[in-house]
Amino acid sequence: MDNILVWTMISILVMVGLVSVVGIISIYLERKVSAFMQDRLGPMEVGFGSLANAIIGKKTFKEGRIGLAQSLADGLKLLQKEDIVPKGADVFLFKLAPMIVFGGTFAAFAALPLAEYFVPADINIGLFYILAISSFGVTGILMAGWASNNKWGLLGALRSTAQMVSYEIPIGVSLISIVMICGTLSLKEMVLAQSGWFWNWHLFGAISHNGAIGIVLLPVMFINFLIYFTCSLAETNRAPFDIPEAESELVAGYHTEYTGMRFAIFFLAEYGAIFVGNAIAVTLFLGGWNSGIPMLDEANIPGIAPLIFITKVFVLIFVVMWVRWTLPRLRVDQLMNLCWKYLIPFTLFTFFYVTIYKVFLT
Amino acid sequence: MSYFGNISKAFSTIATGMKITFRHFKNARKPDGIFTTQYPHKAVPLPKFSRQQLHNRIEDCIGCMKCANACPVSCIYIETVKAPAGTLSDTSNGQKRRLYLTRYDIDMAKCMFCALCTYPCPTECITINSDFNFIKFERKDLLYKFSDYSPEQVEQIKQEAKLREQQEAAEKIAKAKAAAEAKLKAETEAKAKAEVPQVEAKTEEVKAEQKPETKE
Ligand code: SF4
Ligand code: SF4
Repeated sequence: MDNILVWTMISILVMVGLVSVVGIISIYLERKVSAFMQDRLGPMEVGFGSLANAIIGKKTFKEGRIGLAQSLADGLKLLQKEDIVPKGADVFLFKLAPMIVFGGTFAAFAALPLAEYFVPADINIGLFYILAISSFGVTGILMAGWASNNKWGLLGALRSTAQMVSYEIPIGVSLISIVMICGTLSLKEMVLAQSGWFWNWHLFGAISHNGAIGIVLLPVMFINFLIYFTCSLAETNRAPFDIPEAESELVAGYHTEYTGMRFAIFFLAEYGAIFVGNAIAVTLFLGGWNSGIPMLDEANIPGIAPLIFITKVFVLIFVVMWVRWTLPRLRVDQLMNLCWKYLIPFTLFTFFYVTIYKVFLT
Repeated sequence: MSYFGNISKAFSTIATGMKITFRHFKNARKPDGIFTTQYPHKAVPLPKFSRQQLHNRIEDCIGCMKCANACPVSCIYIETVKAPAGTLSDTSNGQKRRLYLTRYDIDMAKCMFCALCTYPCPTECITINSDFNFIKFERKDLLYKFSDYSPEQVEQIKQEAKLREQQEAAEKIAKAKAAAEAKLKAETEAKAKAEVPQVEAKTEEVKAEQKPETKE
């Protein structure tokens, strides 16, 4: 019991650091990945050494630097920027909005199962909690757009809300299939159910639950995973669903008027949300902290479980970035079209398929 | 297009696009996969005759104003002061320099980099080079001053020239005066010579005039 308590304390502390570290790493990755896909180099100048030198006021350059400290330097820069509240803005809401957005993301981090004893808040309705709390961010986004008294901000916020609300439906329905198979909402138990060989992962059906017959779920689970992944892109306002922030139309969408640290908080929250979205995908479909090879899991190497989990999430984040730098932005009507005419019918289909399977085949 | 046709088309086009970007991502590790040049540290060499910045080797300039006259936008400003013979050294190709260049400014903010000023120069001292990195924070810094005299020196040169001019003028006046005096002298002498016969003629006239009166 004591042991678990200590682990919980440690995991909470780790989570606090994890949010910002994840944000910083993903921003760096994003810049590098996008650069490589466009035949550029990306950040190259700011290494940790030159950042330290710059703080004490010295300019240095060394060959072979790859810009590892770029996000950190950007954060430092944003910290020093003037904090502007526009004239005519609703000051209270304007200042509250970034905190709500960040709070929603941060609270979602709490329930992520990094390892068996590494769940900061192991609640038995973990999945429901994460879905609920990460949708909380919409409120903050709408608030930000409304309070900044700016037409781009308001338009961005409106689009964002419309998008998030409609994409909640396919997300919810596609995840219910997994819940039906597992019979639980606890993320930790879902991961435990996927331990063993990688074909036990829910992406490949329900083999760990019902033996070989679970393979009949493979196609629907694949569809479910694709739908969940697509919707999580839309939920986090990523391209090709980035119409709330559409740079070429709306300046920056709901955070047009934000400067300095408040802007940085929006930015961190966005990358945090991406991490949470993909962490759910990993937990539910890709076996969470299980490596997929039982020998490796049983070897009990300390610290390997969270590492596997985070690696899987970052592989998915790479795919997210890959999609972003490949596909053009959807129009608003195309966006709604995709959601209501394609994603929702398919999720309903998989939902009934899984229901029938559950009732008649087990 | 049919409903499922749409879906399959979406998948195939997305796959095509993603394949292309992934190829670029993979090729980024190859040396020719990336097109960025890290400019301040490495630079692509410019063409040999690229025209960027003007330079004047002022010790070779004879102040002939040919460049200033050739410039289509009139952005070369030259002021000269006459120098006494022998005070200035010759140019490197053996021309005589007879003028102090008290001002030789090129306004690079007005310059359009046509290099037309470089062709007529008899001593080939104004040249255009490939140094393009001359960003300035203030526009007035783009006025390049090539004259190697400080303002005090310019003042001194001007004053000396003025003195010389005055001296020359004084000399000239003196010369002129002397010349005039000499002329006057010569004239008076000539007059004196011519006066004697005149007087005689006059008396004759008088006599001739008086004669008919007496006849009446
Ligand atoms: S390069 Fe052309 S514009 Fe510039 S100073 Fe020479 S003649 Fe004038
Ligand atoms: S043409 Fe050459 S020598 Fe003549 S004033 Fe210009 S730079 Fe000097």
